Amino acid sequence: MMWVVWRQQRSIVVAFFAAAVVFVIWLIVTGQHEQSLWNQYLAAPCKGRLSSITRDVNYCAALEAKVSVSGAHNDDVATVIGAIYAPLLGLILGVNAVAREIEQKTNRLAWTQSGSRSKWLRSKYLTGVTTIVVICTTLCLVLSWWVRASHDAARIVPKAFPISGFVEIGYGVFCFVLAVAVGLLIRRAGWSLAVCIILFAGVFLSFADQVRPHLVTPSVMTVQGDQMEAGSSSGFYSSGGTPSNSWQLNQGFVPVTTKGIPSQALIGKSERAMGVCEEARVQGSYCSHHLHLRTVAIYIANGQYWTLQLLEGAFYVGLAALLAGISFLGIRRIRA
Amino acid sequence: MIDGTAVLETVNLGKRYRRKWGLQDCTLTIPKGRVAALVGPNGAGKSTLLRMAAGLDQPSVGNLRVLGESPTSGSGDLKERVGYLDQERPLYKSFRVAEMLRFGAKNNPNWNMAVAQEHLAQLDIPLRSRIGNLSGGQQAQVALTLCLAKEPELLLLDEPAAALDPVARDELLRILMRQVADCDSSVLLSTHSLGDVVAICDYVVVLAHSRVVLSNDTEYVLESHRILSAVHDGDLLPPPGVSVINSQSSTRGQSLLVRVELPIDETQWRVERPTLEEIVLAYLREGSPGAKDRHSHDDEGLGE
Repeated sequence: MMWVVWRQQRSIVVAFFAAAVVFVIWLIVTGQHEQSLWNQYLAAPCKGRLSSITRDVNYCAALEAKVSVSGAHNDDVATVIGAIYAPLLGLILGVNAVAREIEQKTNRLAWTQSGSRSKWLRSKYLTGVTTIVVICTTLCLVLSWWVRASHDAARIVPKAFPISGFVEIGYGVFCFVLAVAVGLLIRRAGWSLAVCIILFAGVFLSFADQVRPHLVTPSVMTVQGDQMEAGSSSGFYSSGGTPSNSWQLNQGFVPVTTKGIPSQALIGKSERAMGVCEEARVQGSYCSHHLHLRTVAIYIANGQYWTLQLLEGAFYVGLAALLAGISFLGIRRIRA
Repeated sequence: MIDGTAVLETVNLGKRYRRKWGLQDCTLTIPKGRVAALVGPNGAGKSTLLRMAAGLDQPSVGNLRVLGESPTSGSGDLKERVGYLDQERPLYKSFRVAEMLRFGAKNNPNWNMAVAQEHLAQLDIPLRSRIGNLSGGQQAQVALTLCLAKEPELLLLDEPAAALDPVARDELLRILMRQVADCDSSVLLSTHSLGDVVAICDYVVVLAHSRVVLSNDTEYVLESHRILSAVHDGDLLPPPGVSVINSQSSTRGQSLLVRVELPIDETQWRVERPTLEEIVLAYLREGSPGAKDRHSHDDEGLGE
């Protein structure tokens, strides 16, 4: 059966593999270019933003603009393609594996041979998941390198997180299993694909927004006013004073006596008090001092990156395993 | 009660699709070694019965045994012993013919590659051709080849000759006959062609309105039915010991197709032997919606 599944999926796999090869080549070329620009920018005479040599100010500004514009453009392309590649591969393979087959009624041919329906489904899973893991692992390695080389965003921030580690393999596997389950239910390839895209987008966005920030314990630091304006000295990350490679979740005023991680409600209450004070045209620093407030930034440190990757990856793989179990239970009763 | 010599046996079998019955109260037995025809109008439940027998659908009610086993058990052993040709002739369109044969070989322990290749060679279907590039008739032949090369004990064929030209149809019937003779297979095929039934079938099952209305050996069916005709002379009652299956009246007289339960000793009726086609048509007409309407009108008339 594995041979049959591979034969059915072959053209899709080849198309996605070719796209991955083109994408990897593009990543290597642009990554090396950006790394080179970045090295020039950090080296003398500019030395990043720390340069004080006025005669090279125009050269450094031009180099900074070049690094910034080139990085932003390439980063958008890499983020979009990198983020949708694995889910799209999973969805198309999954829809083709089951919904397309049911739509074309070839499942009747397969289900009347000597193998059981469970065996048929198992071969679909084995072939699909293996394909996704092999292609996406290679892609993830290159993307991880590219995120470091481009220096456009810290790997832990939401923009880079999905493409900077191995969690993308989890997205791909989940999408494949989701498409198989939905295909068994809806039995139409087009509709299955549409439903799966909506479902995955819902799960992905909800998880990134509502779950990921709470997976690990964040850190809190008091931020000085000048730090908030200056940002990081080692890159373009807008970190608001938090470590440049961290993911800032929140910042605001809290009472100076606050210990631990302040709640959003407490920050909101302090912000309102500051607002009232500032409306009286009083300086912010006076208000914070007068109200006994300090500015804090809440962030997830870079050291938590792999824990987040592991937990998020486990969530998607666990969800995929659950869906696969339901599909195995359901396939015996599904009308051919 | 399961008969050891039956290849297919159903007892009060029914299949319900949401609010509509696809098959209802189906009780029949197909003995071993027969070529049985499943005849009925569209929507009568022929494909439903065959799909359930192939293990693709589960019955809503009743019992179904195929070669002594329940097809819903998903037993691989039973699937090896049963060949099923779907009405839609599903094949992997991107595969080459040779790859379809490889598919059959990989999935069936009893696969006979020589039979498959010989069959396709006789039909001039190249092994390198893509399935999607073959004509509808050729695709039907490839699908049938996949069934035959399994060398199954029971062949379930859903309208096997539907897409075939007359020559290919004749070839198909010949192949089926050879399969029965060579492999001792039993065949249950659904068809709209009464000519096919007469040509090769020795058992007939007539389905109308999701129910079995006739199921028996063709020889017995022929022996147990008669056409009675009489010149019109008022209302003539049917002779005793017969069941009227279908009656037709005209200004010239009356004609009844009857099932004979006792010898007919009548001088008022002219007695003729019907053909199998006439018998099957009579049962199908009797089961048609028009017949039901006619009967209800008759009943109303009697009531008055």
